[in-house]
Amino acid sequence: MNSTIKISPPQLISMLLIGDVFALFCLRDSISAMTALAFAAAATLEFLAALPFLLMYRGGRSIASAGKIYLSVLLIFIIIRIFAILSMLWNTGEIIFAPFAASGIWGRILVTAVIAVSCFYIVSKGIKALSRACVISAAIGALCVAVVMISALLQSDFENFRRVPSENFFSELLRGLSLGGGIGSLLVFAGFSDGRITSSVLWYFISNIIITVCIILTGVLVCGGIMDITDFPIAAAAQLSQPIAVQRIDSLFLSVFAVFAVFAAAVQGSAAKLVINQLFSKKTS
Amino acid sequence: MAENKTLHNNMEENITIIKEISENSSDILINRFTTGNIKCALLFCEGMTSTLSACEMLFAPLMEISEKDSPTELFDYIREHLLLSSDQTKAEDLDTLFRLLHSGFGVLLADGINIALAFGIQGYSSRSVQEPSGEGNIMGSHEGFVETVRTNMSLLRRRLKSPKLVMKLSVLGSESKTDICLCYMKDRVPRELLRRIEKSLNETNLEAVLSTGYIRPFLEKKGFELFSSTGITERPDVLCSKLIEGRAAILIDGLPYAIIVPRLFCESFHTLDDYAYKPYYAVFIRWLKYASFVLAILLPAVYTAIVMYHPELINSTLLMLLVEEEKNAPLSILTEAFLVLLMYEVIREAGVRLPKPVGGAVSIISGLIIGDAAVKSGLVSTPLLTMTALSVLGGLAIPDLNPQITVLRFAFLAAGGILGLFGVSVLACMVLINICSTETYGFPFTAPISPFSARGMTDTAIRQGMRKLQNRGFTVEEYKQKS
Repeated sequence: MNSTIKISPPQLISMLLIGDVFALFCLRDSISAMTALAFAAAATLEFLAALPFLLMYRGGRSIASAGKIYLSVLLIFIIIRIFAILSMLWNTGEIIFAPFAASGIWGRILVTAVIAVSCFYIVSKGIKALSRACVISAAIGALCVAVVMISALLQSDFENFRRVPSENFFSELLRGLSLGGGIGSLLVFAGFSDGRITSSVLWYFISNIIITVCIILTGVLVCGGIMDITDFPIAAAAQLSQPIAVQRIDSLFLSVFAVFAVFAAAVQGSAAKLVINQLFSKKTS
Repeated sequence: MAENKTLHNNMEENITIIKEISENSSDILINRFTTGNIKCALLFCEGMTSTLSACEMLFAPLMEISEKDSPTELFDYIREHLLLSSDQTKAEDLDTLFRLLHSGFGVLLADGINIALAFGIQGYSSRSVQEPSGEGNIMGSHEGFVETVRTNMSLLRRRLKSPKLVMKLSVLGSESKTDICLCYMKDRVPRELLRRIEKSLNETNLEAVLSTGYIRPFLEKKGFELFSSTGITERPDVLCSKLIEGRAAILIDGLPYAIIVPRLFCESFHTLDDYAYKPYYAVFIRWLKYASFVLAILLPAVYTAIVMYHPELINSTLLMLLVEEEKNAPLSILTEAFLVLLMYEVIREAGVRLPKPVGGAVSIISGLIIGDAAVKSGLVSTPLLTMTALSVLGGLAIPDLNPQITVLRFAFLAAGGILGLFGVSVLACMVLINICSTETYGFPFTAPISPFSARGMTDTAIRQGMRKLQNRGFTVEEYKQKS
């Protein structure tokens, strides 16, 4: 494993946040203000769970010094996350309207295959390229998402907070934990951090919480009145964004969705590649 | 190779071997004479030396040498007591002799000594310093590099009189023996960069160096890169600005271009004119170029994708207009777009290759007749032609990236036509990762955007005033990944 690669805090945060934001885009079923609170709590729990492992990296160690069992568990976790991302893409593709996604199963397979092929190419380029690209796409994506969400807020209604029935906190907490599968890749890439592990991870979780709360609350404000007939509230909120009467801008959301899907899967793929390389090098040594 | 042989003491034997190797090439002139009571011969390559210089600097002084006891004494006298040329060297083997002879040196052989003296009396025809054709500038110098490496070196030296500017000549190409000059500022260039460039140049195994494209691949990373991580420039003022930032450059004899190592993606959007204007205007022009780049590669693709797959994104007035225009078109919009872009590329290539007298006729035929006739006949719709024209104009604002823009335009058009905006976005991800993976000698191509450097962004996203820029003490080493 190339231990000379260093990932800066913005790069690490971008790589992880892209996956989390993509998961939010694909959020299914009803959401409420309680969902935002529970997701924030879930992120906090993940941070606390990751802390002991991150402290290990502070001593200059990385996954290169981790045991086979740890690596194997990490690999399984990452593979499950990859399948979860592809599954989210499979389900959400229809509502976002990628061409062919609504054309039956073969259309969806085509869309998923295109994403998978591009992920393979991205993973083949290495972590340095991926981390640089994630910063750029996260920055542009954040701008586009902000524009879409702010435009969507023009259609918002504060009464929607009352209209949407509040979900059970613990069920939402579990939902938040199930969506937050980025912890596996966090544990892999934190070992490549350029020394500022604690601040990187802390800023990641703070950003994650802020973005999650903003996006979910926007979804509630915009789609609260139609929550019971909306399968994908965040996506629906983006599609309702219309800053000026004659022009929709949900094409921005489509583009950001596709980009984040690709990079979310690629980040997990890169993490898996690193762990597999380490596992096999351990087996042959 | 025979050329690696050392010279003989016998002058006639040397001359016989030279004639054998060159197969009595008509451009090698051999003048036998006696001076200092020693038989000598002066060799020239016709057309490469200045006859006037040869007469004044060589013939006259050499014929006035008093008698010497041996050829060694003769050569010592010439080297130590006569200053026949500012560029005086010796050749001990035939390879060096031929290289000097074919570089315009006059070569002196003497009977009884196995070395030759060479005197720089070049007088070959070369183009005078002119305005560069490919890099326009409004407010800056109008001088560009020429084909002679030594003239180019002087153009640099005039602009950077610092003794820290180092220019090292060497030879590349087993057959062409092309002079190349590695230039750098010794107090600013990273030593590791210099060492690696020299190593790369030493590892090239070229027969001839006839274009920058012969050397650049050896200075770049292996593997497919859309954009070159080395740059070229025709302008000495631009090159000086890069040298001051700690980059290295390679001048090549026979080419009016310099290769710059390393190069960053954002530099394709910079010109020296940016520093001549007020910062607010320079910032406006830069962002216009960034937008032009995006427009150039994406406009036809996005237009095609929206019309084919996402018509709901267009406002109703525009949609009605497009429907009216497209309904009579016999071809699908994707095919139309491909044809129009292909037509433009053919016209552009023809315009570059054609002799100038015919160029005007081509413009009339292509622009007026074909374009107008295609629209009037309904083969091509006006909105598509407009989008293509805008895209092409956008690409012309950044001539440095023209090859990449051309290919990417077609690639994005295909992606947009087949998979809509989704396809455009996925392809954009792949292009982005390719750009981000590009680096040369450890310098990331996407710096200072990623990895982010706030200091670098003061001359990328904006153009700070010169008062602040001059105090930056910036060198390109700041961008190097610590790996």
